[in-house]
Amino acid sequence: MDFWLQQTVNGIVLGSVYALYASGFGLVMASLRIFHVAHAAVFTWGAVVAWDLTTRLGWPLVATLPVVMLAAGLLNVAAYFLLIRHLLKRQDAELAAFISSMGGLIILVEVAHHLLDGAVERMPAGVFPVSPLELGPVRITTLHATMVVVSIGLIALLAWGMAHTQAGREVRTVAADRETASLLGINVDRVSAGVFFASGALAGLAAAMVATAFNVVSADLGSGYLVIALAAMVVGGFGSVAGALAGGLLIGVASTYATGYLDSSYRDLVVFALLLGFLVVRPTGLFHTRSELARV
Amino acid sequence: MSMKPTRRLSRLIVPGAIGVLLAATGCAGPSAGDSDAVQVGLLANLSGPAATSFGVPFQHGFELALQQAKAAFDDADVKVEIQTQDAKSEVTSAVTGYNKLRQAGAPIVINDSQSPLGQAVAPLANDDKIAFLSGAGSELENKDGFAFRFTDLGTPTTAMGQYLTEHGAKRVGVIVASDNPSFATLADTTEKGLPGGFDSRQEVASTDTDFSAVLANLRDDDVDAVVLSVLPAQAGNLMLQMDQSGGFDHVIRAGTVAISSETYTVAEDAADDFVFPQVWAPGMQGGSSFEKAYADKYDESPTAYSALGYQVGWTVAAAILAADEDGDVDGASLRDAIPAASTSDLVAEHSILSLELTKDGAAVSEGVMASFADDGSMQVASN
Amino acid sequence: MPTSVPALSLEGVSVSYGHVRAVTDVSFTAHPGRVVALLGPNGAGKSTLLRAICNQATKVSGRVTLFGADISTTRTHRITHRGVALVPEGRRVIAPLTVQENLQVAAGGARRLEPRDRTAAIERVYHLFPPLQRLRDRPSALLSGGEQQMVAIGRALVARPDVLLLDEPSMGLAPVMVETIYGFLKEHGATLGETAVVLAEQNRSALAVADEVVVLSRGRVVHAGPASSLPEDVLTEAYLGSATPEPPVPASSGAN
Repeated sequence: MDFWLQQTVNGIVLGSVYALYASGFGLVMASLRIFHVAHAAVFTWGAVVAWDLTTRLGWPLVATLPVVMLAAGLLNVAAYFLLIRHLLKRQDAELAAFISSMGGLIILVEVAHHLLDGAVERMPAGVFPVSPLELGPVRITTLHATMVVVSIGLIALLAWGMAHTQAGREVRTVAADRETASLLGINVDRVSAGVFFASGALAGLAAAMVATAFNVVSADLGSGYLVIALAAMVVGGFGSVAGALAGGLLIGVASTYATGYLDSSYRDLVVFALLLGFLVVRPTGLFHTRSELARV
Repeated sequence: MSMKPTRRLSRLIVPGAIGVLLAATGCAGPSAGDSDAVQVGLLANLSGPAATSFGVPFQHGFELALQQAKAAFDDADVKVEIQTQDAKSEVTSAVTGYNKLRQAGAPIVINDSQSPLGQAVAPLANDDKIAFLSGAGSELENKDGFAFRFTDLGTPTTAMGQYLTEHGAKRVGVIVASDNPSFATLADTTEKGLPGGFDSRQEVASTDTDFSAVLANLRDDDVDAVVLSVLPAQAGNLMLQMDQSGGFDHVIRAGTVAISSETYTVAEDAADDFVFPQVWAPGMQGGSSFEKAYADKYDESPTAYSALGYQVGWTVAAAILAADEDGDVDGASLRDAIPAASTSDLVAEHSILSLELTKDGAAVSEGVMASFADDGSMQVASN
Repeated sequence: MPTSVPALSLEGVSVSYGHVRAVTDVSFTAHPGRVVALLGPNGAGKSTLLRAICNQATKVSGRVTLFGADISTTRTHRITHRGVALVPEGRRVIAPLTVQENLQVAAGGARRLEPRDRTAAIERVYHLFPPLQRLRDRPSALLSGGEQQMVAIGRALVARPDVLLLDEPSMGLAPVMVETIYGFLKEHGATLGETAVVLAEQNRSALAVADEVVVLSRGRVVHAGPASSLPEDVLTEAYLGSATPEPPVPASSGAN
């Protein structure tokens, strides 16, 4: 029982990172129906910026987070204007934007490769006061606990904002019908740029925390999470922020159980069996969005 | 040390064919220097990924040994010259380099590391009757006994198991990077030294970065020692996360011969008390004069691979002297002389580590238990 | 003809889709407080023209002015901010959003209302279309066609536009629903005040609420004048090419 509890907590820690990554990725997916794979590179760059600020300037992790979020958000906005926007009017916009985003991913990853000289870098020791906490039978580090609280808190805030604010309604309007959105007075470009900014900022935050908790800053950091994020989105339901949270947590817990009870070599098997299972049994995911209703 | 899995056969044959062509057309061979001198072929990885860790320190140690052996050569009136070719950490260049050395008339060729390189050159050396000393980690084809490996991963790794038993470990766990066969082999070899075997076996992938699940498993299995059979950087990351998650304060943490200074770069203070087997470490008995001479000559501290180069250098010198004493110095006479030379008095006099080369081409090297000093350099473990 | 400054004025507007000319040299004006019926058969270019006013179709020549100011190249959302509202063909409600959310988006997007006035403006729409009241929290995807049309029109009216463009609001609706939709146009003064309305329809029933009429055929204006005195032969000629002399009934005119 204690062991089960411990592995569940471990899974939630891992899953909260997946969720943060997936919700940003899903936000763009839902708003523009494009597979913006360069999100992975924005994640990587979030880690690189965090690493640079902590190593070169000696900042503590907490101080870097706003800067990292801003930088990653702006990078993603640049990606929107340089890679995506001019393609949206095309007939094959989704495919063209995917290919363009893929190109951006490759370029950004390559630049990161050169910057890091191909090496795996580490966040300096002591950027965050890590110490073990014992909550009853469960162990969790202060860093892991912070990650869970920050991730779930931010995603909940995002979900609330999407549902209850004018900005959230505008984002959903643009997602549903860009042309009508502009007729309703919405500056579609500004909303899209805002979506890319929020998505990039979440990716940057997730990356800075991952880089610190898992001791890794490399050019390929973001790409490794791309497929997991996709799985989280399928499980949670495309286009739903709450779904990305649920999907991320479920995938995180499932992969941790696989490692804990079976063997880490079964981990990907379990994750993708879950993905395929959902596609068969519940293709809309846990939280199917109202946009699905629209297509009935 | 060579950890790379065997490359495909075709990659060996093609460069081999190119080498034969080059040889047939007689192009691109260095001219032999003094025709009387024994040409010692050093096929070192002086560029490419293996250069910094293996090729360059090996070359330094090797050259230092032959320089120090000059007095002994003079006494025996033997002239020795080193012909160096850059293997560039790749099979094609290694085969080309080997062919140039063969054309220069070298009866012996030494290659510092990388199994695929050794595996490409060994059949050629057997055909050409050239004694070949290789740092390959894997088995080499050796039909006429001309190929010798000077790396022994097994003995020091098994010694790790014994070390843990001697230090009171009752329940030993292991973390293996199971997507790399070398680490599975190292784990199995470590287990041979443990009477009870491993009580907990956790597998990770080389790219994994979050270890909370496997660490929870190890805590649950109540181990008092953990062997990290993973890449050096991953071992560092594991120890950091052990420290952060807590519950491993009284657990002995041990590594394999694959551990390098990179582990310390990642883990820093978390690598305190980490023990791991190495072929050689600074501070080993009888090594101080070597360390000093090396530092004087190259303005840097020797690594385990410098030490290996030095030890192999003296073994080669002893073999040449023994072959010369018995008659001609050629590939066959060197082949016959090498096993005895590796444990000869001359080598023993200058020896800094135990390395016995056997007739069947294997090596027996006891190694040493090492740990990281406060500045991150390796040192002989305190007990 | 009224002598005030026209709210909306089109001067020689031509629109192309790729190589196809959809609208050629169209000019007309719409004055505050008046309804212009834009009649013409399917494919005459009515929707294209309304979209071009909102800069959603590529104009190749001509000028669109709003109270004398050129808005020919103004971006769509800014045209909306300046007081033009289009109820597009096919209603285009934001399906995943509830009725209330559709209205909230429009009330905020139009930029003409202070945030504190938005609630009152939305309540006015519910007052205008009482059936929407109990549907407030229903996703608009689940509404009937007529209910969706009420949402679409309510959305356009919420911020009291200066120019209201209606693209075939009666299309596909049952007659009783058409009554409801047209109801507010009949009480023009009470609901719309000084709003200028351009009502594009295939159906001549639009004439009942219009002050002026512009007849389009194959992208060109074939007649313009007061709605009360539209010669029957103009309309028949405009619809030539269709099997009957009478304009087709909207509900059965789906096939193009």
